[in-house]
Amino acid sequence: MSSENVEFPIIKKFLDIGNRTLLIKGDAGTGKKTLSLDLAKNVVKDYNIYFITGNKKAEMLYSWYPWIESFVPSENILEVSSNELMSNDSNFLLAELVNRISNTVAIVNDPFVSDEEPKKPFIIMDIWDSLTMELTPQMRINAEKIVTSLVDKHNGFVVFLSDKKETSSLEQLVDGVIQTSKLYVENFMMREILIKKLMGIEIRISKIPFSFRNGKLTAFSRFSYFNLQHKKFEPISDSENRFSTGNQSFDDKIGGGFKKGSIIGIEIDSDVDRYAFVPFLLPIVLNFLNHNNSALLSLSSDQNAEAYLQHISPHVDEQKLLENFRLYCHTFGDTTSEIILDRSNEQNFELAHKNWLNYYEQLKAKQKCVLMQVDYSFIELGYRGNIDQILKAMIENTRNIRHNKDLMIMTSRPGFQTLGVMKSACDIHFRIFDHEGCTFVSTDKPKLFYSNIQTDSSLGYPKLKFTDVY
Amino acid sequence: MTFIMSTFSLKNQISSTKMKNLIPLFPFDIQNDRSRFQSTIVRNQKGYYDLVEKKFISTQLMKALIDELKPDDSFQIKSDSVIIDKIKKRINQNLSFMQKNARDSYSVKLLKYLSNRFLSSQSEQNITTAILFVDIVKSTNLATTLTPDEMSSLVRVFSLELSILISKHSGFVLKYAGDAVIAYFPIINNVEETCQNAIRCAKSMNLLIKHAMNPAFEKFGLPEIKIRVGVEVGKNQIVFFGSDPDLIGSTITMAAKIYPVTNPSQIAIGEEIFKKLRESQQIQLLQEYSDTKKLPYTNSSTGKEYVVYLTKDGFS
Repeated sequence: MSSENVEFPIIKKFLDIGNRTLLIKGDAGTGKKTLSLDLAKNVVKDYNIYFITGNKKAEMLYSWYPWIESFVPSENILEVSSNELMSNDSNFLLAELVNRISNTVAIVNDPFVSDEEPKKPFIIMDIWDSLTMELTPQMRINAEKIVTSLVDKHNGFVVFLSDKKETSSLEQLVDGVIQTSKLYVENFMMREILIKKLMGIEIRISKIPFSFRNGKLTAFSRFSYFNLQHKKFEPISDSENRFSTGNQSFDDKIGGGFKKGSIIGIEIDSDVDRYAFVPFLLPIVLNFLNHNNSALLSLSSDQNAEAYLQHISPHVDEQKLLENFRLYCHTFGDTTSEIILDRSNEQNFELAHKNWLNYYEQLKAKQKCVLMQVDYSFIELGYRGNIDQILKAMIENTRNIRHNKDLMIMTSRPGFQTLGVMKSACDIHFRIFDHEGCTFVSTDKPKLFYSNIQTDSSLGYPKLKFTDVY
Repeated sequence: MTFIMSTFSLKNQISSTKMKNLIPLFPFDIQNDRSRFQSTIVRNQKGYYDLVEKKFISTQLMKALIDELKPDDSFQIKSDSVIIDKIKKRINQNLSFMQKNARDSYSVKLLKYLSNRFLSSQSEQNITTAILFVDIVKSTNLATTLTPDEMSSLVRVFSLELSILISKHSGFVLKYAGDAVIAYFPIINNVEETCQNAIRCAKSMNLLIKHAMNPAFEKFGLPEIKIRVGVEVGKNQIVFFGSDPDLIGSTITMAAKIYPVTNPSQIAIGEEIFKKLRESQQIQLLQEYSDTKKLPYTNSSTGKEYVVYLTKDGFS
């Protein structure tokens, strides 16, 4: 699940084991301040948070980050104006800041109850670059020592924020270094936290993609699996022109569902967890079947039809399944049924396609809307010598679907010839790709959204949970 | 919460006349101790910055604290009084808080300061005081059955409540020794009144344990406790170990010897404190007290074996 904020257990551990200093570096606008405040939010139980800033009034910070008001009181936002910076020696200013923080007092609220453990200072140095801009290397080292001695004295913690490229002396001094960055993976903008150094901590995952909106960070985590709870599926009504995806938030992202008679193309990168497609497809299938429509799914040769059926059967009446659901797949011969249709003996694509069309016509004969799903990259792998026929069949299928106002979900992968036809033929082109172990989905045609995806199994079946990337 | 402090001189902030009305005389006239309390304003509130504890306490809260601690001639714990309810509430609050964060309350620190301040201000090295020893019966058993957090909470609550009680009876806490509290009662008006205060305090302690502390302990799954108390009067010498004053002498030694001979909830009255009471008070006390014991020590004033008066078992 994607978290509400960057709850870095390793950063908490980094503080707990006695580290005192952290440098967060990165270009302007990459989320340094937000990350530092997010870290502070997680340690307010033990620390008093101070934000030392240049020319940023408390009101301004509160308007940017309204969520910090509860744990960064205005008196803890210490402003050093540009006039002060220009007219004073940096070390003098630092000494002044040290005094102001040292002179804070705890207040007795109830003299008869156990005293609260005195909180330690957690200082976010947002002005470090301006403060040390004109210092010689030796003077800068002195300034760094003043701050570190302050945190040592009070058992506190300091976070230096810097957008300078050259921070090597500070990187050597501090206990931890984190870099925030904004980069482009192919055409997709990605924000990333790079953990470069955390003293005493084993870093297993050094890059964490995240999103950044309204002054808050949302870290993306690796794709999670689910435990089925077998709750009843609550179908979402189709509109006159659209089939619902069975997932309200998915419907909202694509304007209310898939248009009837449309072709949905899904391009899946080869490094994406294959499981990521299940929460995408399953609610669509369940919604079709629960509206007494039909679904004809083509499984790849390595997929277990029985296991697939187990995802579906708890959420659909048995009678509806028998009548309306067909899995066209490779079996071991002993698992075939009215639902599971064996294609193991089909030696060429022509026969396979003929049978496929036959099953489709059987379902259409019941006057039902049909959801057709085919992974063409696996078809292409299975019938390498028949690529022309496969491409032709793709077009034939799309024509049938459009004519009959059904829905077709086709998938393919980069490097396959079917991908090009799919991209041309489909009405919506989804792209599912992986970055640093996290999974993302975007719509390339038309441009509708770009989100991190996770599994949400709170309703008893897996569906997609979207977190938009900003 | 913490706030940036700004300091002002005492003259500018609070008139001394006004403060006299708020806070009783020495040793509670803490506003005059500039070595510890600095008059100041924090977040538009007048108050004191405690230089030792590095804490700000508002004038209003300090007054409430002093009111709670200052001696009261008529103070007495009763089984169904408002005071019991108030103490119970405080114990509940502390027990729920302390298991998370076991630190002394500000009042305990202030009481220790008041005691040190009193002893340090005495011009004579030898002073006559009543001494009271109190500890928890079978505390070793408690220590082995409770978790360290539970034991720590129990002892802290015990020490805090007894300290407040001692103060209400015109006494000071001399020191805490594990589950034991050692208190002294200086002569304010006359020695007889001081002895009465110490005995009254010992009785109040038993009532406090029975009616406030044990019911609260039960609520938190802590065991019932009983105490042993001993009181004696006589001369003691003020000595300094480092900067902290202490009392040594035969009286404090005898008080330490007499309380272990009691049964749970009994009070032991030393021979000297008994003799200091008026005859009518002695008769009344003897009616309450069931037993005397002779200890294998010689009373320097009589040349005979030391006599201890013990209350009836289960006195409450």
